[in-house]
Amino acid sequence: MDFSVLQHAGPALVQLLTGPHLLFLLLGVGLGMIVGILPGIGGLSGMALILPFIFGMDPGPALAMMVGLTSVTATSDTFSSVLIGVPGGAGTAATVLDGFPMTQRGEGARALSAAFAASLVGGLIGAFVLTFAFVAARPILLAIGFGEQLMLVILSLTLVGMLTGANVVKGLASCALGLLIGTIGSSQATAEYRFTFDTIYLSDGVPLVIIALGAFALPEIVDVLRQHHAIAQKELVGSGWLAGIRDVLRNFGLVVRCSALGALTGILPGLGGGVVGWISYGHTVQSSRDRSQFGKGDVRGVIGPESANNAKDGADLIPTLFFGIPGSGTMALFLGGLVVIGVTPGRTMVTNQADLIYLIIWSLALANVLATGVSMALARPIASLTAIKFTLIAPFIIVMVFMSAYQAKTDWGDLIALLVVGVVGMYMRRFGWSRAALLIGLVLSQRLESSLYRTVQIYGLDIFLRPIAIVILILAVISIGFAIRTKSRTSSEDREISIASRKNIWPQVAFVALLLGFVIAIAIDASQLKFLASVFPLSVAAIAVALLTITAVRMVRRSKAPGLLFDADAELAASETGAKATFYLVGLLAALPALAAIVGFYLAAPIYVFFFLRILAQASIRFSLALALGLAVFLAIINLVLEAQFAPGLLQQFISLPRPFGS
Amino acid sequence: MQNQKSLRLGALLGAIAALGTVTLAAPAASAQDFAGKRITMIIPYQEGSGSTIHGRLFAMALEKTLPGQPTIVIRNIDGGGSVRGINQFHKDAKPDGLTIAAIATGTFFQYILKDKAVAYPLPEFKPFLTSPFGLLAYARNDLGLGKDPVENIKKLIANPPVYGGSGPTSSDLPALLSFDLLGIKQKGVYGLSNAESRAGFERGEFNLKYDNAASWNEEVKPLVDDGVATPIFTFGFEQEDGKIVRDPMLPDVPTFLELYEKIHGKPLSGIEYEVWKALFNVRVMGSKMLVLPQGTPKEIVDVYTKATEAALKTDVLQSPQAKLVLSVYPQSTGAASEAIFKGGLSMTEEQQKWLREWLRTRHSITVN
Repeated sequence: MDFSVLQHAGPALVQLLTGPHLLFLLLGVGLGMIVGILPGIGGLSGMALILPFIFGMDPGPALAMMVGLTSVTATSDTFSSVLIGVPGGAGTAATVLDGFPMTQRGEGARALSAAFAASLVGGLIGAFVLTFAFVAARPILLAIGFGEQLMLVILSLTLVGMLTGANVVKGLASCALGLLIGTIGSSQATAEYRFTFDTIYLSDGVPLVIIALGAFALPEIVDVLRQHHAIAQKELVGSGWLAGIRDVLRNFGLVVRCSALGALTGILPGLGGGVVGWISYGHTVQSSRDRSQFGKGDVRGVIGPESANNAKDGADLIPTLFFGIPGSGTMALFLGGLVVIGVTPGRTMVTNQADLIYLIIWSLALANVLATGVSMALARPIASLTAIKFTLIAPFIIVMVFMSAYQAKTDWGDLIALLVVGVVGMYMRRFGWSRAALLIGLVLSQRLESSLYRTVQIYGLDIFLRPIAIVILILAVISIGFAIRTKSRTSSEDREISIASRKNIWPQVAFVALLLGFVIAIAIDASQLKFLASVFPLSVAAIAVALLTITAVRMVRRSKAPGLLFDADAELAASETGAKATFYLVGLLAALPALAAIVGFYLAAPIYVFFFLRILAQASIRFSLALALGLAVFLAIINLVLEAQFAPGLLQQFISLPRPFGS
Repeated sequence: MQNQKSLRLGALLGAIAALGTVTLAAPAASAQDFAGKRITMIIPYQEGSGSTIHGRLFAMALEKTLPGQPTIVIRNIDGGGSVRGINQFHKDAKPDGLTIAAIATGTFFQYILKDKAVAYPLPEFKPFLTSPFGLLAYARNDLGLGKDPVENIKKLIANPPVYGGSGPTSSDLPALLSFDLLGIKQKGVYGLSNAESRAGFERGEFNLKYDNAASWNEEVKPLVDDGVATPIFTFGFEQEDGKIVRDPMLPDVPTFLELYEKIHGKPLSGIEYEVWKALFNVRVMGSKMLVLPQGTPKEIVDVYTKATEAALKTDVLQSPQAKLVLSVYPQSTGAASEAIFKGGLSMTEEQQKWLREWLRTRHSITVN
């Protein structure tokens, strides 16, 4: 290996710290923080925003700005995951699992500070890994073929074993459902459409972010709305600032391991960014001795995924820079940016432009430090919002969730899918089905199917002659062993179960029947397709039917299996009175898209906020009006500057309106 | 140069400052003057796709050359092999020149194959720019390839290679038809992105592949220099007189038609040639196009044509970065691009039937 390129490290740092580079890096970081905190916007819009400006710029400053922008969004989107339980994406959903319960305990600031400190370490490790990547990246790309990728997916899937919740059968069924939802859309092998009802919206499958928002954000909002006064159910605990840093120092080994995992997952082909958070969360649970608090607000559950997610950013750059293969939408735009400033990514970059690579690495490290500083300073004031009466914040969160969802495909299908998934998510939460398992299944579904198909086509049984594949497979077997032996399986759905859950079992049985109906419908649809398109969904459906049938039979027999019969509504009714039914709250959520269908989202959002504040929060007219107008101005800005799109309604069909009203 | 840089910095700071203020675009005067207007360019593929880079490049130049210097915003609406985005374009775009779209091979193929999801009347769109891109097929040397192109094809016929790509109904279609016409019976692994299939090719999991000839220098040449791969043929390039000649990027590599004649002893002819040529028109000559929606008045089309001609001379499109994207191929505007567009739609009912039958027998794919 040739390490002579390391000599460029020093001069690149000097270059970065002098001249215009630092200014542009700061600009990038600032912009990245803003778009990261804004709901549903993210690094993609930020990159699109700066692309026209960097044309013809010197490569150095342009790169500093691009790196600054893309590397901090993973830090700043932690705010919404931790404080309001709204995941910034499918990968950050793992942070919600423990971060949000911490906030509910009044420890939002501590959770945030731990998350940021962990991100910093992760980001620096990611930058460090990138330093050595250009000697190791090529051998790794060549060693990890489609067969090895299949084994990696299987290894990741075994982590579900730790996240099934108390009832293993229900947890595995959730995972199978996730795998099945992932098969919706055109099949990779034959390009036949599966379960799309001839809609073009479903032809590319349900976007991950919709499932993440529907399964996690909406049920939590509903839960807080009906039970509690504010997100933080207790007094805010201390400043939290130091406590969070202390948490990270105490678990430093975990932070380093998860950062390494994150970086590795980023480098290895075939896994993708969505699973990084989940893999590190699974590892965190697996490697901890006391697992009782996971899913209920264990700070390690925040530290693990956050360090991994940020370490991945450095690793994300590797395929983009060295092979010209972008791993995500943001990286694809980054690649576009490279072309615009005249830098040709690929193997020649290492030999011809090693100085630029170091500039990127140093920018990455510095951007992480800057972002952590800013986020830490903001953590406490923003966390104090969680003590405010929830009905005052809820309408904004609901608007934000629906707006984020619409950015997925800018299609009305986004809003409908979100509502459907949200309702199913609420009932999963109510009846104790692991939503984490569902999401892992979904994130891995397409990769599992496609790598399985490719492996069979290319290797057949010869795959068992490849040493790396076998090693990964052995790791997977060990991981399954772990899962079987463990006593507590984390899930945010587990709570104390009393006799109340066993009184009326029929709503729970009906839910199982509904899931069963969905599985069978998918199976019938798949059975009409060619073998290569149907074999995967049919196999998973068979497993799902078996697991669901076992669950239903046990329920009817009123088996005492742990976590089998659970009904949060019944528990609630038994313990207190006055809580509103799930059904009523669904109506409250659906009111926003319903209004948007008539007057368009841009007009619907302020109207919704106004009436929500007036009726549910009983705020004054002037106050409600002021907040509604504030929202309208904010939405106008992100529409005009960041190109965020809003769902049109009937009104926009008949009358052509100027932006932002017409968009 | 320094001055220009600080201007751009100023513009960027301006954009950030705009986060604090709301500006509503004032309605402008006449139809041909786009002053103060926003033009939306719909790109039916993902951010970072070849079409997006191509489209953004032209957007940057057109912002300078369209009358009134409007702002052009890019909207990526991907899905269904470009069908979702172009359906949306067809539905939303008014014939006022304020909405344009990038169309590519997929847009044509889904239309020709009569995909159920297609809701757009492709022949009614008004093209104002076409960018051709040559294609290059190559294979791994471990198949025993050597210097003689004809011998190489014979080796590929004798030992069927493994091909990794996105699938027979995608933009791979012309390449797959060409392999088949030569007599190469490769095994196909589908549903792969270009990045995945390239990685698989480098690992030796696949040993037959094709790429844009424009990416020869960055993607393929290093493999050839390392002794890993050999170019087997290009699709060639059509001159103004209608003759298909060797690709200007790779004049040493024989074209498909040359090799066909050498392998089979007679030139490709009849309906097979007609179908191949129709696909060639779409995939090579009209690889990427910019269009206005149906019903756009001639004046507006002319305004765009003139602006595009001027855009091609701007520093944006004359820059080395632009050359990396567009390569050496001549760009067509106005009537010339219209002719290429028509050429892409020239397939008769009978030829379409032949193609569907070929898909059914060779790839067991039934299209409607």
